[in-house]
Amino acid sequence: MSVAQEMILMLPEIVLVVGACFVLLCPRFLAWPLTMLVLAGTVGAIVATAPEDPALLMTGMFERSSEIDFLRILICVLTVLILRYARGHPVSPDRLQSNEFYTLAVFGCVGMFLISGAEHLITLYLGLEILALSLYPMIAMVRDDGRAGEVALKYFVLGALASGFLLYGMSLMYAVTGTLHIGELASQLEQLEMNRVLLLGMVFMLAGLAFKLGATPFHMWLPDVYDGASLPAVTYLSAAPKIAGLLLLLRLFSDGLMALAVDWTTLMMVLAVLSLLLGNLVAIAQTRIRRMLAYSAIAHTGFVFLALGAGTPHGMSSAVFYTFVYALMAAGSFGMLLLLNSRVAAEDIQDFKGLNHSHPWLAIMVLILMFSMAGVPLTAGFYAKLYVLQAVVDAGLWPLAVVAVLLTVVGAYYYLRIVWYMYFEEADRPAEPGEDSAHVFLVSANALVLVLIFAVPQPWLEMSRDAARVFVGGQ
Amino acid sequence: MAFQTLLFYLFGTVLLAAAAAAVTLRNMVHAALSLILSFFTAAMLWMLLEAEFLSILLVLVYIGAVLVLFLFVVMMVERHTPTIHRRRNYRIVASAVAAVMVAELGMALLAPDFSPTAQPLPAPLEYSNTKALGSVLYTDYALAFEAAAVALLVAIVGAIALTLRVRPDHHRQNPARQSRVRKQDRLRLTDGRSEPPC
Amino acid sequence: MLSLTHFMLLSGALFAIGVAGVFVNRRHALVLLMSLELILLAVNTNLIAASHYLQDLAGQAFALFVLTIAAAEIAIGLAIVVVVFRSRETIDAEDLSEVRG
Repeated sequence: MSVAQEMILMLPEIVLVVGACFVLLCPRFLAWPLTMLVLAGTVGAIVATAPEDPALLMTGMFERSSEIDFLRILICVLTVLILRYARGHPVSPDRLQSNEFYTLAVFGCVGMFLISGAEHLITLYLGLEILALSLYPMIAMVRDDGRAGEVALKYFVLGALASGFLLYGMSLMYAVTGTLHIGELASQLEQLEMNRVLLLGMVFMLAGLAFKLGATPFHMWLPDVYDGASLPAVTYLSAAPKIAGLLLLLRLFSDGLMALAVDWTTLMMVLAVLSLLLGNLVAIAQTRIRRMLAYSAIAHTGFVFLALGAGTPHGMSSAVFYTFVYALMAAGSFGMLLLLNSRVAAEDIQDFKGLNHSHPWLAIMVLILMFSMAGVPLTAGFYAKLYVLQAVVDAGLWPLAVVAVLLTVVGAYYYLRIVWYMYFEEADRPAEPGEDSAHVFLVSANALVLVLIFAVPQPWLEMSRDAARVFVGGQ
Repeated sequence: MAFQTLLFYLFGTVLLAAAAAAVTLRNMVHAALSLILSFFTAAMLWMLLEAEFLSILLVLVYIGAVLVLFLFVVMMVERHTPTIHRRRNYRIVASAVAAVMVAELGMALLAPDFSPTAQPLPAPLEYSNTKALGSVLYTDYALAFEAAAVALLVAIVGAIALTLRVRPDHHRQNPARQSRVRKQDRLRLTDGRSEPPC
Repeated sequence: MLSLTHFMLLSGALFAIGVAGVFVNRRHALVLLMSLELILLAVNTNLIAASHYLQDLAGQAFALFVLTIAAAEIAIGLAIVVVVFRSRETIDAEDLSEVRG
């Protein structure tokens, strides 16, 4: 393939990097429109340059396959949504350091894009670090509030420790197999005799990723970060990077380490059950909405691990679908939270009391989001959980499916409590959501898409299945 | 060969001792200096592994720039509390964690199913590690090279965004305005008589 | 006769010291950063040793990138430490009692 052809296939990444530089240097009032332009241009570039067949680029370090393009478009769309939601917030990026915040947000997308196509451990690691290096300062950026810095420090230390674990695992793998290329790694591992160094490498890699994704017992940073960082930064952290995390797991484990599947599926199941247990049980005790959403994020991560732990193509596609739906739900929930917080602080679960009385439309949207998080029928969350459970049962692990169902029912309690407060309790003080009509429109659209996915699930499932097929054991 | 083995054990001992000192010493400046020592000995070990370029890079760039920056921050932040207090139970937990990890690794690496015996051939006389690394860096790893550049840019933007302080009471020069000033903006001619007292 | 196992055991011990350092210094941000540096040093030693004994340059290239990222990471880490220090005049992670896992 000629250099020109490769550059055309790398166009989305090039647009993002060049665009991010312009966002950094442009006058402050242009930062927002330019960011939107760059992300829209990236989506355009993805659609315009989609190749027919998967193509290996840049001396085999990067793979461009149109099957996972929908996840990359979703990353861009979520970033647009999140940045728009964040604009009305009192500490919105517009009122702080808009150029820097938006630049870091776009660079974060560069990192996620690199992860999405990584065919080489170096590309994977660099993508992960570009994403992480963008996230640390975003979280630390609200400097008037001392907590943001502390939380960022905690997140930084644990994030860097996680990278260290991941890297150490990679270096052990390299020492045994002698290759850093993910495809070659897969074929090497099939030929090699199993030995303990390989297993140890795999365990270190999984521990590092579990840290990054916030699966129990490596979750301790997540509630603090969700609670202590500025709301715009948390919203960014909560949605698109989850997709990147899934892609990392798929690239490394389903694609690279398929030969060790017997071992890592067991470990993933342990992580899944622990995360579901802790996430759902501890969330009940929370009074602050952000901490509740943090534990709910842990529980959802548990579901993704459950799906991957099934170790089958069906499990992988259900993991893709689940993450897709979860990212939309998380963006919507935080978008709603930003809307309710844009004029007064409404960070407590009690603040939802009587929302139906004052703002019936918003109450319906919150209802949809919470039902979807809980997995109630008529919302996409129901299908997402159903497909994961089907995959787990198909893999013959029905006791785990039973455990997951029981814990989901327990978890439904704290989502439904919010709904109860909205509809059946009197408000202590009237809610004062922002009146930005575009924000209300976007949040509503975000929530209604979840109903749409329930009504017409087939196309999304097809896409998830195609995306998962890219990763099946190096085929 | 025996001389290399001797060097390995010598540098290895210094490396581990310096690393242990870096995480346990009470005085922060001493800890930072032991960290520098451990990096320096690691560079010697890399030299033993014939990775000359990376070895020199570690000394010149990493120790020379990054760790010295580290020392600066230590001295800036640690004016008030130069010594560290650690809890005893942390130390026990940490030693246990380290011991378990080393035992695990030892068992894995010394197990009979992992016994790499391959010895590399001695490199030819005209072989240049720097040249070899350079020739793959800009070809095979071109994408990684670009991505690393992006990562550095992100770090620059992030670090400046976090630490740059714009104080409202800060007086700053504006060269554009300075050069645009005309004589009549600043100079007022009076007729030389003193103002009458009021 | 030196072999890959020697170097991997050494870097394993270095890695363990780094991880233990993270545990023992939970209170102290700067020593935490030093422990993270040691972890990355262990990784790099592992990669270079493997690269030497496998006669394959990929490991050294990876080590070069890890070194680059480690520098970037430490810059951000020190920036965050400075931010926390300015807002609190302390970097003792346990004096910061508001944040609890």
